[in-house]
Amino acid sequence: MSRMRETPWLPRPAVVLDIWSETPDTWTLLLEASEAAPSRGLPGQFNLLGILGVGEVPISMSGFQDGCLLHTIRAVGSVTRMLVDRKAGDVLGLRGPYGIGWPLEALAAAHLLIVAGGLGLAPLRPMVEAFMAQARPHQRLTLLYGARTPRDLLFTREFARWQAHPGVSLHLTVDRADPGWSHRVGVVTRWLPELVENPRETWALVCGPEVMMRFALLELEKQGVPAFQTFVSLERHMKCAVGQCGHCMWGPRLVCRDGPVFRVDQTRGLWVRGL
Amino acid sequence: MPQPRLASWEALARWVDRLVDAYRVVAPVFREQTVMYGEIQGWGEVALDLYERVGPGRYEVAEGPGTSRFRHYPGGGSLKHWVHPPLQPLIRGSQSRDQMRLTPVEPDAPPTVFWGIRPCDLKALEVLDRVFLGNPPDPFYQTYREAAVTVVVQCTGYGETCFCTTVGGSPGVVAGFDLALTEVEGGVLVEVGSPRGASLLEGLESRPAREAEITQARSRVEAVARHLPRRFHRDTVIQALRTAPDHPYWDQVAAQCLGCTNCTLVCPTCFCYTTRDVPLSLGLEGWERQRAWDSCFSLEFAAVHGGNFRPGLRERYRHWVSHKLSYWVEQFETLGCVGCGRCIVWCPVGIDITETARQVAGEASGQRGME
Repeated sequence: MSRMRETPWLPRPAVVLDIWSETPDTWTLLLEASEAAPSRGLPGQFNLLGILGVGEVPISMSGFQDGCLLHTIRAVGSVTRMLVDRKAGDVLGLRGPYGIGWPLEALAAAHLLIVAGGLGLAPLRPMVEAFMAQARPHQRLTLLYGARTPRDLLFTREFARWQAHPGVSLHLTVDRADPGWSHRVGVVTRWLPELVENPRETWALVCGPEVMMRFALLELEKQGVPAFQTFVSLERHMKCAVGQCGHCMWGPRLVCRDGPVFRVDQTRGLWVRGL
Repeated sequence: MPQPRLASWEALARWVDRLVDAYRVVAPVFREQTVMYGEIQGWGEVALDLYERVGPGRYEVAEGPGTSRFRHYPGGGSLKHWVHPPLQPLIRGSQSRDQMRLTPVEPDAPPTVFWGIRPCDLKALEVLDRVFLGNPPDPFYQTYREAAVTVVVQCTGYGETCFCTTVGGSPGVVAGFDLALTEVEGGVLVEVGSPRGASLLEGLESRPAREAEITQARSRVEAVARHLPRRFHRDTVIQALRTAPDHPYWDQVAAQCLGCTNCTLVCPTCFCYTTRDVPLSLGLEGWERQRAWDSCFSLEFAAVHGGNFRPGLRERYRHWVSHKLSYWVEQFETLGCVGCGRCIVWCPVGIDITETARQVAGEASGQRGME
């Protein structure tokens, strides 16, 4: 007794159109997803990218460009190392889009505060671009972005274009500077207090290493930014992305299905170590 | 539904011997010193008249007299092996740099009878339905589940580690089954729960059951429900597990837990899996992506490149219990635990999940209170 049933396991082919380096261990891939997709995807969502014979990994979309997708990948394991070794014309397997993305209502905020650490800017980049594409004159975007060293900053080639937008102010910081670094030195959270002006009008989107996110959330709360206007994007080990394999659980939440973006007022009691 | 029937043990035996010709029959068997579920080729393999002596970290089987012939409460292993197999191929094919040729594995299952399963095993299937028959349903689980007819044996006794009533279950079945058997004096009462069950019954010689037989079946099952001790207060525990992540008891139990994953292996509702790519014939014929049972107790279960979210056994044990007895409700609107007690029996150091529940909820411990 066998039937052809719909399966979530079959990836569709995604052709690599281009690939470029962002940092010594991070690359961005431009992918054309050739066959029918449930949807292109929303900022904050992710796809499972893979190669049969190696495996699949969840990677957030870092941008949308002419009907194509951008994924920014750090090479840290067997799958990611193979993914960044691709050349134009190569084919990857793609499953998705999955997950709950960033709140698009935040694009209407008077003040959008984006707080990113390291690779955390990748899932936030679509929101920077979306803001720039449709901001009204009174709206402001503050992008606070930090990394360990200047060499670890992503998307540096785009900073000038972002800065040029009248509504955008870009604040960079590193933990450890190089000679020639002219911006701030210090952890990201250190600069938060001076960047929050009208907390009630501020929507905050946060993504980065988990310890950085925890401290950022504490600081944002202290500054009076409402928890229901604060969002985080989490990273967890994932195998299925459809809420079944169990790996991505955060307490009772399934990061692949209830996240990866969470509204902070709905995360009370979950910021326990080892949950 | 048709009225209950009564069958003799001889008729039951002939029926099973006919069923194995038309179906894959999974029934309680005695293998590897354990009463477990296995495929049978005939009535002779069905495990009867075997008495299980169980306790925390203890399992022995002996023959002995008793009022019931089915005495697996509920034995080792579970039906998970057939509805959520330990190894499940998902897709096959090949992928080179510029080409991808993948095909989905088509789920397939022969007509199957789960014969002689316990009510807690049926409940476990319903619990797994919430995980795998969501939106969209898992094609493999759906195929395996739909291919299986359930013939439940209601409990006319219970094991020392049973606690189905504590978690909202019962030694009897009311709905969701195809056929239900209950041992009574003089034979076995057979109740029909579905049209599929009714048609399966056609191969069984039986007569209409008498009122006294129906009453006896009912009261035997009700007696079990009455005598099963309440191990903990379910709703209190569901709440406590959400609010007591720092309870000192977690350190206590972590000092004993070996992280051996036995509990997740024998649990009829644990479903976590990993995926991996394996070569077909040294890779010459392509590759296969498969899913395989995994356990939240394994060290790397919650690891990402930057670190491990549950690096210690304390966190991992806490997660397993909290998921089973609390988070499931938020995720799937049902408790994950069916009270079968297998995890207590098969834990090599005898950790008792009901003791954990009592401790964390602040109830007095050691109240396993037998009748």
